[in-house]
Amino acid sequence: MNLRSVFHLLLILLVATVLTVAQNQPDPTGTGNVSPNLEKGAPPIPIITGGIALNTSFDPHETVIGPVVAPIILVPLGRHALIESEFEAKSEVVHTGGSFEPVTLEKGVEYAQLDLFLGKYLTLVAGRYATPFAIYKERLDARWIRNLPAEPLIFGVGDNSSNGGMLRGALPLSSGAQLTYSGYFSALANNQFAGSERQTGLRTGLFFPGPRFEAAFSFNRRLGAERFNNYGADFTWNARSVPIDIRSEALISEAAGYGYWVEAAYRLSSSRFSKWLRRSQAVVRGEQYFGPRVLMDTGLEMPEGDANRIFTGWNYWLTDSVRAGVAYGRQFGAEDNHNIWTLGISYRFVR
Amino acid sequence: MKASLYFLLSVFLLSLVWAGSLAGAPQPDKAPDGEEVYKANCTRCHNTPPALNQRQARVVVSHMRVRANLTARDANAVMHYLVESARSN
Repeated sequence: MNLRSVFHLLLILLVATVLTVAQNQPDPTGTGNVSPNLEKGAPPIPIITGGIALNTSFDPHETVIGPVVAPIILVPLGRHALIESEFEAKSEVVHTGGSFEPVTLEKGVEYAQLDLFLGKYLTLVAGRYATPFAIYKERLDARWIRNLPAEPLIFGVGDNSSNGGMLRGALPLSSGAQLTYSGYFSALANNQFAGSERQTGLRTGLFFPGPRFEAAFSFNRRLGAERFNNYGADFTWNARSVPIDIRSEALISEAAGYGYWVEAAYRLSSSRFSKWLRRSQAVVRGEQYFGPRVLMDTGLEMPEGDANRIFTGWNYWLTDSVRAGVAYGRQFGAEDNHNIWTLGISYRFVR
Repeated sequence: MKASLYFLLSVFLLSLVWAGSLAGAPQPDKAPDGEEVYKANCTRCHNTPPALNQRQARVVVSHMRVRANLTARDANAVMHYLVESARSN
């Protein structure tokens, strides 16, 4: 039996499972008496939130100090629309060969979007938005959220924003399962601070609130001068019995390469740990990347060659909003192997 | 390429079937538990936010409704939980 047959068998099994579960569920759209309600009560107000971070990484050849500021502005327009925008400015101070290189400053609009809540399960997004390819860009990229300072090796494929439109939301299949979806189209824009590529794609998955598990599949087609497809998969699982979070992404792309990462984070929240330790988290991430089989100018920032990397880190919350972290990684590349040490601190704010 | 893609899709589907088996017995129709919805959706990515009043919570939850693909019902439950948590603290 080849992989294609296995895939078809699993697809049939999945459809059968979903149908069986759905038939045994009560109406998931039944109204719950939940108050306060988004549709009622005091009107919402504009908010400024976001994060500030400072990371310093050390490897055998250079030291990089990288401050990042990323404010987010949220402006509600009544109860059915929201304008949200994130601006990010990051600098790099590089010390190598006994001297400092010129300081670099990157700035840009991560997103500036209008969200229209068209229904319980559907939101229309227009403007500039983070491209929903896998999960890292949309959900984990913020410095105060990511468990390790370094982005995964395959992050280059998803690290972009789109200018266009998107439909997204979640559909309850039953009280124990939801279908999540995002479909988008982006136009070409050459703006210095808000550029985008012509591309289209979707991300769809199943989320099971009970076991706190989500698995999703992403498709992205680049429609620029070079046309190619990227396929991704991601899953997250928050175990109930132990305070561990597991996340993973995989990438398959003839033009961008192949790879995956798996990360586990264990919160030492159990009462058997001391009060000091209970504010900390241990993290480990393993990842592999294999270069593309077809050489083309994708414009993506990917590793120069095959690479394997393992990271381990420790995060400590000084307060609920301030987190310090230290991480050690070792990268095994085609040309050299080296260590990466990182120290960092991040601050999350809401005003 | 095709073999890799089918492998990826097979792993994806297998994980869904496995998770579906963990979903357990059907729950009676009732208002969602805000704390449970919060833990299932929000703490997957981040820790507890600072205390928010109702007007702030309404906006933050609308933002997260888009980002995390929440249904309106679950977003209401999370907002209720955040406001009640802030009051009790």
